[in-house]
Amino acid sequence: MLLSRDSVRNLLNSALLARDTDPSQFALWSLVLLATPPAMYAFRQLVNYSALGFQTAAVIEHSIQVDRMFFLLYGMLVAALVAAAMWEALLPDRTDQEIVGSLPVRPRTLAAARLAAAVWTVVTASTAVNLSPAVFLAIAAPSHPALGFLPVVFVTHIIATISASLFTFLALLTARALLAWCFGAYTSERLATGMQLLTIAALAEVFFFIPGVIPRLVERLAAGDRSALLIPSVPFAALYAWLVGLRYPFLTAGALAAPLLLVLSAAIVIPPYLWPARLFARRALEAQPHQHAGLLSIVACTTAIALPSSPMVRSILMFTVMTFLRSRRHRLVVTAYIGVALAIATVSVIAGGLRGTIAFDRPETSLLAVPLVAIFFLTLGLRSAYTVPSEIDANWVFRMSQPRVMPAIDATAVSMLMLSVVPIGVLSAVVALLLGWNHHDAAVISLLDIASGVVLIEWTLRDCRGVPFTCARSGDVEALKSRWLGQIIPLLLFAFANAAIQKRVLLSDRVAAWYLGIALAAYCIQRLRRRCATRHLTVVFDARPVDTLATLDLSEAIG
Amino acid sequence: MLDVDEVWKSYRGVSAVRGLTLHAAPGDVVGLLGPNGSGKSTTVRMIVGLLRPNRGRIRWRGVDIQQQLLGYQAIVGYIPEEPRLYAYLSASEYLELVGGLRGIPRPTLTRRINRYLEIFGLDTDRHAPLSAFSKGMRQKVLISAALIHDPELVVLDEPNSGLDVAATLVLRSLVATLAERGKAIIYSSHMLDAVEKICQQVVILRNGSAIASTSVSRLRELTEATTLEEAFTSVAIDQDVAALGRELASVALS
Repeated sequence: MLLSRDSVRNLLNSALLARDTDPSQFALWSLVLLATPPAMYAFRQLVNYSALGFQTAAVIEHSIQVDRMFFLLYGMLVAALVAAAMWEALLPDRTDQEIVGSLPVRPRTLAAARLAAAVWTVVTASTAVNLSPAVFLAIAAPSHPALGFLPVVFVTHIIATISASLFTFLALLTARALLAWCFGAYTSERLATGMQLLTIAALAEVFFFIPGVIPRLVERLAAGDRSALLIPSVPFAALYAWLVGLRYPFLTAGALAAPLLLVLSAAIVIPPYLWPARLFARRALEAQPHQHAGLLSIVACTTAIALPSSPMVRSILMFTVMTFLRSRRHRLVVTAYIGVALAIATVSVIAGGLRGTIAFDRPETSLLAVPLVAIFFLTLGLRSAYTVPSEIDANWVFRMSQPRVMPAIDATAVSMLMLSVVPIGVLSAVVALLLGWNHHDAAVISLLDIASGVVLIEWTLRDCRGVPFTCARSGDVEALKSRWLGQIIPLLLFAFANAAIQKRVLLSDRVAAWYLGIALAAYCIQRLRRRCATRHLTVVFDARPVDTLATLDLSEAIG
Repeated sequence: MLDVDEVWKSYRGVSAVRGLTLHAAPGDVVGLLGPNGSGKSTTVRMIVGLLRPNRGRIRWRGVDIQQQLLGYQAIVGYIPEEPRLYAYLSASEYLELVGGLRGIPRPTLTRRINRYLEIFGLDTDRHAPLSAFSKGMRQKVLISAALIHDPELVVLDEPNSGLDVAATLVLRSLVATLAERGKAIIYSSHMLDAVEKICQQVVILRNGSAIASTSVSRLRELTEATTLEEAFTSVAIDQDVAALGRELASVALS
């Protein structure tokens, strides 16, 4: 029991971006953030259901199923998010072993406690997320017989959504344990990190597709399509409908499958954690932390050495790139942004396809926007990740040398160029060639993307006053806030309006030269302005006061 | 010349240092002694410019360090009490970071890093992350980082922490050599035998105040002690340490 209680705190700590923040505050605000969308949605449906009495039974059932499916899918996504955030602390690490290993506690007991804590955490999160929708849906129930009986709706909503969430969570935990079991400590760690990045990127993407996916799932369910049962949320939707009182044969099969899936997932998650617990414990103590230089690290070092800049700029650049490449937490922040970028880029291409304006054999606005969307989000993601401190206690080396703001920003800008703008610029040229566009267009597109990226970097760094990763901040509660809504117009301008301009620019080299000239002028003006504003300033290390007008930052909460 | 004049520092109303005065001329090795919580680390952090005193002044060559903080910090080498490093960097990467921030040209920096790692026997582990280093190995990296820019003032806060016997002896010789070369050295430590052998002057702190500030030999003379440890015990510790030890041993039996 004691170990489980401690493990909950440990798991919450692992979900934090910055180590020096209060995990309980972070957990509370994350839950509030995650619970708000379904609560608002359910409240809106409470009003809508009152008008359902005039509709036919088929329409009512379809509409209810869509809503139920939304709550189930949302709960499953939250569970996946919790799993991804706590991934790091599920298996014992060296610190655990040094603290608990010397006590008369069996590794299996520690593993069981950690597993119990993880399950408790996800059940709590899931309950918090689904409680208010359950209340609203129950209140709405008396407005039509097809909605179900009030207390039954409440209990059923809680049971179905928590079961679905728990199933998702346990399935992901099993995958994590199997990776650790089958591969060595180092390989499994890297694979697990890769899987975690994929989960977060997929989650960010799935949010964009929920509205389009749910009605199709419900249609398949209504049509009695048995293959739909293979989609994880469908058996739980069937269970929900069956418990509320619908008695179609197809639903009965699905309703039976749901508890079976849950029991099965609960049964298979235990052995991979408990059985090799001793092995995991030994590995945690014996494994030596080691790291390979990595291609990007080598490129970063080589570029830094080749740069005609001061030793201070080179040092900060290398520090920034190394920290980013070696910090899983910071990469997760950027991954969330990449997920959103992927989703928007995909939506843009699909929308182009639906309008019939997309053609892969020549540069079209929808395609030209894809690298720009990627540059936009990757740059913003890096900027956001840079504000999350890394080993804040070690920043005294920077405090002792008090760098000026200009070299710090120069190094930050170069790191963003290396990590986002240049790779995407080069990649866009490669993809253009693969699509069969001519060499001239591929080269010009690459140049235009890089030029746009350089201007974007200058814009994102306009209020930067610190060295990346070294500035303390007021905590992850504040990390949940940002200016997402304020980024919509810049995104539209930078990616979509810019892509339309780029399409015209490709028609003439003279216009392309103008484009590059304007980008260069914008860069120089912004840089000059920054130089004047920061000439005598040294970098800051302490958090700025919380911006009370900040809005919610969903992506950082994912990290 | 470092002059700490009547310096006060408090945290949220609680005084950590009260009216401390000390001086270190080039070639001086000044020992900073005191029990836990006596204000040694706060003093050290004020001397290196990481903390600003609430009252009083710290001067280097007659100029208030807060007026020329950047220039002052450029000539200070500092080994902190806790080996706080960027653990995901390797030793050479960390030293490159520190050297770069100190503005050392790359060829010179590379040469110095190689030499430090070689002398400390860390060259075979130069690419391993610092998280894989023992406390003593990290301390060696910190010593290298503190000296890499040839500082005029060296501030060492518990520099022996984690070092083995050989490295401790090397450190002692290093401090003596630096002093001979005219560096001013502030040496804060709990290891009284090391302080006795290294320092000419000692300042003993208790509850944030200097209760003794004199040469080691004079302190022994005044307290009629044969060793610095005895002298320190008589002026800085008001507990019966032997009785406390016996009491501790008995707690688990009660």
